[in-house]
Amino acid sequence: MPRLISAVGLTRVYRRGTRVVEALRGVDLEVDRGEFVVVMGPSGGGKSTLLNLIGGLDRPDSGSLHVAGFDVGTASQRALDGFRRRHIGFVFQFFNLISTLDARDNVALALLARGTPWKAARRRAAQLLAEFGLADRVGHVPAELSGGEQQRVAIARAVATAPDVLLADEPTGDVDGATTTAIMDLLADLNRRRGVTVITVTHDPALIPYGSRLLTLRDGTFG
Amino acid sequence: MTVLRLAWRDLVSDRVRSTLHIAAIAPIVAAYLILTAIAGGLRDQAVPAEAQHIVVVSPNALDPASGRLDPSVLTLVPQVGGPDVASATPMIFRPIRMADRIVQLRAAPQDTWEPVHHLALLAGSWPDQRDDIAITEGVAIAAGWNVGTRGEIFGTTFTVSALVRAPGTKFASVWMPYARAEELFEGMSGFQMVTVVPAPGADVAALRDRLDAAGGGRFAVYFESDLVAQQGARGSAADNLAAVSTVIGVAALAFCGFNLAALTLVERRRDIGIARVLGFAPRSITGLALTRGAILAVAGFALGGAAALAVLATAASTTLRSFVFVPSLPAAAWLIGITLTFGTGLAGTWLALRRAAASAAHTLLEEW
Ligand SMILES: Nc1ncnc2c1ncn2[C@@H]1O[C@H](COP(=O)(O)OP(=O)(O)OP(=O)(O)O)[C@@H](O)[C@H]1O
Ligand SMILES: [Mg+2]
Repeated sequence: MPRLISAVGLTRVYRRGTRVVEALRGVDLEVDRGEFVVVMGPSGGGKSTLLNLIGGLDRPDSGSLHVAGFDVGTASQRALDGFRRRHIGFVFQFFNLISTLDARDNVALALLARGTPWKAARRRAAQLLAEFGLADRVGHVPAELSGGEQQRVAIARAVATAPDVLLADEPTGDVDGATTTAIMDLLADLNRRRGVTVITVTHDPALIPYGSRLLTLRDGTFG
Repeated sequence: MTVLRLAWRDLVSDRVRSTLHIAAIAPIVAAYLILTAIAGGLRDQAVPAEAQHIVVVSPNALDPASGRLDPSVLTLVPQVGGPDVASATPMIFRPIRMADRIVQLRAAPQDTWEPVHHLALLAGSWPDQRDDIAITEGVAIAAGWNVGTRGEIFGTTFTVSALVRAPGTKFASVWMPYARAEELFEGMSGFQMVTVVPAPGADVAALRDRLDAAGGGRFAVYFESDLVAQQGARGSAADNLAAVSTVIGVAALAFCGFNLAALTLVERRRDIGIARVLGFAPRSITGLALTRGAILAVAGFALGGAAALAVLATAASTTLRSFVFVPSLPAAAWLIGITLTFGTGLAGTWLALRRAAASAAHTLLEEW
């Protein structure tokens, strides 16, 4: 299996005034294409920080990080924008949909970022939402959707651009048990059928069975 | 194209805020345009007149139409001036109501209209019927009258036979032969002004002083150009007013534009973060926001401009004392208005967005 993510000795230190927080202190990680990695660990352990680094939203203070052949650790801000457009899909606990746009436009936005023409982007978005069982919800704004529906829209947005890796930060943190199952089934399906590599961060042990690998991040290191 | 569509969709889906934004810009645009039009109208009125002509008016010179000169002035002027005076002609000068409009009537002997008062025929023919009158361009524009228009003055129906061009303060007035006006007012009106044309080579300053001294306060003597300048002073006061209101307008527009953009930003930091997560570059986001700002500016300016035109249309002419003037909006005023609306709106958007658009995406999302 080809190597997709390769991190060596990653550190990330937050400084707020005099307060210094070592969120990551020397993280090593290898992830192959097609894996489904579940990362657990206590709150404040550095899980979100790690996902942000892998997704090119933030940069490490030291260590090396390569994702899909791209040197994320040293890339410019501008190069990282392009990297995210081409290789990364993000899913968050609170969905992070744009409240003024309907489901279709939220999904289309990811394609528009890549330069897909307007009509094609909207067509593809509607198609994807239909595949996710949201055909009758395309014209609804987030406030008119349930938590589970919003998360499915967010997942559609994340995979619309066929990314190499889907980074999910507590994707079921804000939904009930039944919805958790539906969302995780969807992620597992994307992993199996489309070969999307998934890294999901969670507090919920119910997610463990979905993973092909379980990691625990504690105090900024994989213990 | 995509940016435009996205900006449009965003504005449409955020209807309430978009409407409020436009509603905040439009009145400022309208106020600026209206004030500029009024200032422009006053300025147009003050076209230079004959520098050498001397006018004798009642001492209440603020508004010559409100006075009435003693008939003896007409004989006094040639006596005092002697050979320095080429001619001295009376003029009836008063506001009248014609076809439900207040207009300024000037009545002078018809043989003085061209040589003394420099009226130039633009259309129609000089009055030759008993109830013919002439109107100037200012009145034609303000009232929408033309050759052939009929209207009642003091219970008599008059017909506009001539459209004329007149210099200076005479820009907007209705002209009637002197004798016909005297008859119409049954001698009750007297005359309000005497126009003195100095003889060629005469020392006009000395002549003016001699006439002034002879009047002893019973009347005031001016160079016609000074009277015009005095009217012009109102124009420049209005100019200052327009300048001040422009400054206020600019400040208000900038303040409004900036704060609306900043408010939008505060409420939409998360959306900016989302766009960054999806891989939109800071400059794409700024471009989108600027496009959004430009659409709002277009809408605000269009609405404000339409409102200004509507207001100016209902008040096509304005009467300040007995002087009628026509608000005018030159292309430059529109251009400045458009530039201001866009410039301040876009600058506000840009300044407010500059930092957020470039912030690391995760910090924008974290706050929620
Ligand atoms: N922008 C920031 N500035 C300062 N400190 C931060 C920042 N982001 C995270 N931290 C700190 O870094 C540490 C790791 O944070 P992180 O969000 O990665 O943890 P986490 O494992 O995702 O926690 P949780 O399970 O609660 O989401 C925490 O102590 C947190 O307070
Ligand atoms: Mg976290």
